[in-house]
Amino acid sequence: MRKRSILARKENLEGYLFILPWIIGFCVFTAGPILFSVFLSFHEWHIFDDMKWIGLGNYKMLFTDPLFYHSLKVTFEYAIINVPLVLIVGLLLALLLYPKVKGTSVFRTIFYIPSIVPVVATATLWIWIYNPEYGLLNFFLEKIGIDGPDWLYSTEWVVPAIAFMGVWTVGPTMIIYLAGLEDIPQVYWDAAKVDGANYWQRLRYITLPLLSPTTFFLFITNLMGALQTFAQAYIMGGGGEGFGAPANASLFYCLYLYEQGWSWFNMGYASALSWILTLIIFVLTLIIFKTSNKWVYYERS
Amino acid sequence: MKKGIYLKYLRTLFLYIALITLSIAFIMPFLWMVTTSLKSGEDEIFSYPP
Repeated sequence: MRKRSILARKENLEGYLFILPWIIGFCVFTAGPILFSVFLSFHEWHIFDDMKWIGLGNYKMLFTDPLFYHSLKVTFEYAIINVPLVLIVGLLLALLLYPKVKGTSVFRTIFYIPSIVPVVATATLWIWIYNPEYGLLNFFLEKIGIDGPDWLYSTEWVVPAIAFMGVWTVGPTMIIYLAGLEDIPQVYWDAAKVDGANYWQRLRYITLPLLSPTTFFLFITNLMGALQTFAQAYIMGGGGEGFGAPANASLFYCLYLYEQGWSWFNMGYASALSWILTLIIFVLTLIIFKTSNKWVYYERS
Repeated sequence: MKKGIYLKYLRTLFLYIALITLSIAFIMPFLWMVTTSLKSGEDEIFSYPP
């Protein structure tokens, strides 16, 4: 008995030794910075000065900061446009690609290619597409008699324009929806067909409910991504004119956080901003999880 | 029976039209990016119509 426990302890020790490099990496590069940002959020620190403990000062300041509310509004506006759009287009493409016809893999590749382009290249490309004078989009709109807006240079259109761009990189959402479709047993559709259900009825009463776990997953992950949007806004705002251009209309939350941290060196305030965003995402995810039993159907249930 | 076959062909035709139209929309910006990387000079890159 004692011999076995010594052996088990030795095996445990060896196991811990094997995962030690990962544990060190996790503590130094993940848990460490997370804990340090909690610590920072209770301090006033401008990198070059000493840290000053201010308790909840940064959090109190947040709620009197008009740019905090503005950046939150811009980010939610983006998420409200982008997330449903990406889900709808992703589902539509998956439904089009699901029937086994010739060339499906070619179309699948075409729809996925934009997702492998680095975000900086994508953003730079779309600055040109949205250019009101010589851009591709207004050129085509002009051809059909529509006078296109100023897109990235317009305070009204800059957020929708960045949100529409997200549709171009819908590839991963499409692939996950396709996997969800493959998972639905063919027998359900066949049975509905025998019962006289048309395509739309099969879509409404079989496909969409059975795809709801996939939609649930994609909704949460896309929402998290949308609320953390940074690179697109950083590069594209005002057609590349700078932070939040034009007139702070594209001042996304993460952009404001970055600006506080690295333009004004308010590290404590930036940390408080990041924790408030974490809290918002956590609460939203919790709400979605709590409501999921009303709209997510699992095959077994 | 014949009607069913026609409907099937029509559905496939509609599917291809939709897929090709969407493919053009997805591939155009990508093609522009590739062709621009092969061009030199501002005049060539920012020529209008694109």
